[in-house]
Amino acid sequence: MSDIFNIMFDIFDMESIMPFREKIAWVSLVGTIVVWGLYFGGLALHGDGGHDGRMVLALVGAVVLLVIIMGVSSIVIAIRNPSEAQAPRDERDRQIAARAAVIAYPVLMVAVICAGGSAHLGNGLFGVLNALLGAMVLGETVRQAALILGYRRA
Amino acid sequence: MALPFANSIRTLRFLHGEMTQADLAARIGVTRQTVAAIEQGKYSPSLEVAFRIAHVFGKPLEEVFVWGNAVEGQD
Repeated sequence: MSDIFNIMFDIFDMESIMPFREKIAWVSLVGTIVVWGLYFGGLALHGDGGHDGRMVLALVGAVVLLVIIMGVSSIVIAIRNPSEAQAPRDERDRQIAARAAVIAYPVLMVAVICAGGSAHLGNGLFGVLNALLGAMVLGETVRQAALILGYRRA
Repeated sequence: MALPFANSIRTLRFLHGEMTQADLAARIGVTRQTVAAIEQGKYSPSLEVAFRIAHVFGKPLEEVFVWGNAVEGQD
């Protein structure tokens, strides 16, 4: 548990040796899991709510909340690490990003195929759209996790 | 996994007026964390970056990066 607190402290610490892009990846990962976890949790509890527009409202709310979390966090991290924020990606950043994409891409593809296939199992339009959204969230979560692992290893 | 070669970047930085990792990083066009990863043997730099490092210290490449003893006999 103390490790999690140390990582959260490092993300916003000016003197931290954690790379700027790893900090952004942590914020993206945590923000994605929390926001979409709440959205899909709500969907699981009120599964048919899409018909009265509540889940559409929840979807818009989730997107807005994620944009706010990412925007504010990125600005705070960039202000506390101005030189790193302005520096372009170097070869190690590009290599780690490429490896993360290679890991996440098959996960995204399988999840998208499963989401599309769910239409044949009686899933309605709203359900299929949510399944596709879930596939994208899963792919992005895997990509951010792979980015963090890449920075921790290399 | 450890790389099959060692480097003397830390020593060379010390001998060049205790150059910081950030200074070296700025001169070769990478981030401070990348220099730290190269120094610790966690990241294998491209040939271009390796040559840039050697050029900063005015040394030939083989004096900065040395093929490690652990893998002798494999080549």
